[in-house]
Amino acid sequence: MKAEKFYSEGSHNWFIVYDQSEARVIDSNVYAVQIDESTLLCDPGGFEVFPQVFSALVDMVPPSSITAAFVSHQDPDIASSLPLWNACGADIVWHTSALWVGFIRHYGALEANIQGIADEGGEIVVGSGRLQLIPAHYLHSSGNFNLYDAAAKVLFSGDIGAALLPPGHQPFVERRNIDSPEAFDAHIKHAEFFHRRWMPSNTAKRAWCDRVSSLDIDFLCPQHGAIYTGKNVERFIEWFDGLEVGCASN
Amino acid sequence: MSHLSLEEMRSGFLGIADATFEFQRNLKRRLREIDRKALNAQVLVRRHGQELAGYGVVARSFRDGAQRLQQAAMQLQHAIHPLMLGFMETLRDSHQAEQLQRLSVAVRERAPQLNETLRRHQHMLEMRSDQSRHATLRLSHMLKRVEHIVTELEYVVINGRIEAALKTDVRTALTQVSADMNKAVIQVRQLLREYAASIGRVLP
Repeated sequence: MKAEKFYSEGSHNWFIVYDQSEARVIDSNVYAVQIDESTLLCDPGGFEVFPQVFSALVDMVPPSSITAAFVSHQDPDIASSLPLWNACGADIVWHTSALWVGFIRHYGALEANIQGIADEGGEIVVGSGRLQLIPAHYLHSSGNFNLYDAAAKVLFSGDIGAALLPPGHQPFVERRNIDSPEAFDAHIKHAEFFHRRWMPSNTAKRAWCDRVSSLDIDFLCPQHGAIYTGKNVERFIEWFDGLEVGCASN
Repeated sequence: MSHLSLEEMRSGFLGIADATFEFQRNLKRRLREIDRKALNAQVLVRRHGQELAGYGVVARSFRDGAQRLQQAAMQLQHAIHPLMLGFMETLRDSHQAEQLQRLSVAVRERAPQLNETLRRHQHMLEMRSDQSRHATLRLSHMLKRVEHIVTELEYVVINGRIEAALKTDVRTALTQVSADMNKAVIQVRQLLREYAASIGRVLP
């Protein structure tokens, strides 16, 4: 896997680990935000790809700086690496929906410090930064959150915005000619099935679009696929708002 | 490596990852300083023309050495990668094997495939151990290369001091530049020594 820094301002940095080389499990991105000397992982990934994620990430941040992990929901591609991260850092504080605490302990590490997030959301403190937990329930999981960093204008959106891209993909949706929707249109074809099939609720989707439209977002970062930047953020929210979801037929 | 328990290795490898990060960060800073000092020396040489041509060679060698050191440090970083990946794979596989080993012998006897799976895990661990040995050798080779470049830089510094001593007119200025270069190389040598020691504690 590759690691890249995509936001940096003083001691505040965001990193993406992307393009995994194991094709038998769904390709996933892992994000890390480092503020001062503390690092928080966003959806730290699956058990099988942990070695790849770890060795790519430690080029960017020292492992001793990892103090917290945010788990957007309970899926194995997101959190089944929990016992391995816990073995590498027993002090890591885990944050996930209160609904899923007892479930994700099934991945192992019964002794891990897992904090349940209330349905209405809240805040996580990382170094001198405060990150907002934005409710995104039923998109797709019944207990589901996004993470918003207002200072960096980064929204970590979990499965929202996900695209199933071929191996060797780039970390960003093509942005060289951002005024033209051409690249976005090509990218979103890889996202359509995912959103129609995995997102169960049009009501939840509309509520999310309303909520995030009021946020100032430079980077919309999904757990699968590529980061939306600049105008592609607006394009995505508009596209998602207009998409009929919760449908198992083609 | 086999004399260490998995727990000791885990903490050792995390220590290496932290030490690598610190080493690379500090080395980058020192190399920037070295480059600046060498540039200062080149400016001084240009100002005094032909008279300091010998010192010009020293300053250029110093700068070239710093660049080679930077490249070698990048290769060193790449050499850490397979080692880290290999250990984390071992950690993952051992974790799986531990879950099965917790089952009582009586249960395992009723499901003979479990023992087969455990044997496969053991085989996999041995393979990874071999890969780790290769990766360790490569890392040790890269460390030696970095050390060799630092030794060359030390030699350049000595030559610079001799040149400075021979130039009576600008001796003070050159002596200062040479002392700065010497200090920068000593700091790099110290960084390297500490880094090699932290690796040596885990990978003898």
